[in-house]
Amino acid sequence: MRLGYFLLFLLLISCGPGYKNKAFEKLSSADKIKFEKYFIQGRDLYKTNCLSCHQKNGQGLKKLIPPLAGSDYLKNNQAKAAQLIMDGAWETIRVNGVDYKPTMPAHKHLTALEVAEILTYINNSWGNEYGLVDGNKAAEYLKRF
Amino acid sequence: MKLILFLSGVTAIFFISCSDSKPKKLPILGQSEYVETATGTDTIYHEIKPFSFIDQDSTIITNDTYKGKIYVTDFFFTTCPSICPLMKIQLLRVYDKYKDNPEVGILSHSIDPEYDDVKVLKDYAERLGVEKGMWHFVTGDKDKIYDMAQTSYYIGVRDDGSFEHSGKFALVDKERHIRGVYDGTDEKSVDKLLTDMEALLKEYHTK
Ligand code: HEC
Repeated sequence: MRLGYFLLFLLLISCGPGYKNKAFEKLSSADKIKFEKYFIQGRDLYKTNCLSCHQKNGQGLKKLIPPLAGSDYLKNNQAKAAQLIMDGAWETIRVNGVDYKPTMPAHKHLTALEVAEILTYINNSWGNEYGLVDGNKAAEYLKRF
Repeated sequence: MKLILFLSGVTAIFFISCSDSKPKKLPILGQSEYVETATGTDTIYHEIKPFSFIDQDSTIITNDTYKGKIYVTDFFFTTCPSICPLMKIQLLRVYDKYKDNPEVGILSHSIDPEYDDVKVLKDYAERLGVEKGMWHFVTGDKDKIYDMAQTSYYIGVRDDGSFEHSGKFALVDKERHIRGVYDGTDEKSVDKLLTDMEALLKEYHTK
């Protein structure tokens, strides 16, 4: 088991995106481990579900697709973001002063845990420091609407 | 010793880059026909059929729009959930490089022309930051658009409800021959498109 974590640790440094941000440092050691697992899973899920639109670097595409990197919307609307990922877009969203059209598709095949993993990944990539979202939190977000 | 290694490295690079700088003429793609004439055989190359669509500025776009131009074409739709953003990022590279070159154009066909009307295409082009008239986003009769994809440009789209499409780009010369087909979702393939476009433009300038 120890070895497993050690390997996971090695994997994390070798793929080393700067996820060890302030949000990470504040966590308890148990949550740190959770964070790392979520982050790796989330990165894979992002690749298959989101990357073609929001791009490798989280920059989006001009005024067609909003950025996740540095997004004020993501920072301030975690519950809505969870809902958006699951159900797709239903309203115009303003990100960093630009209005986007509700063309984001639903991802109904994802579980609440997977939404949590994706949120943890996009919350803490490309300079974002929006912290861990665990499975229970995501389930709560998804029930809210 | 190190110096020799270094020098031979430099010469190798020199040779490689030199052999690269003499590009071969791009092939003409598609089914050619051979016809007997009084003086021998003539080759008739596959040619893009005449077309007429309408673009984001309500302008009628035909093959004449691209007279005296080489152009890159693709098939997409504005609400595409999968590969279109990737294709548009790659086409933006072509646009950024050639937007002030009157010999180059881009033609993006919507394969969902009922939804993608002039207004939707206008908004899409503006959101992409496309201003110059060299990049036309066109809509029109769906059957005609699909037919162009399948029988003129050979970059097939299928209408099986899911709008599955190939993500390919075709490069067309001033004689309306296809000179290359590229994977519009692959950066490397589009690198090749950009070098091929340079080579093709050179063909016209060294004649
Ligand atoms: C087809 C392209 C597309 C795909 C795929 C896509 N999105 Fe989006 N996304 C958009 C668009 C367009 C908006 C703006 C929606 C609106 O204005 O209502 C958006 C908005 C967002 C927002 C809120 C605005 C912001 O920039 O902070 C988040 C968060 C987000 N997407 C995350 C994701 C995640 C995570 C995935 C993968 C599970 C994903 N998106 C997949 C196109 C896409």
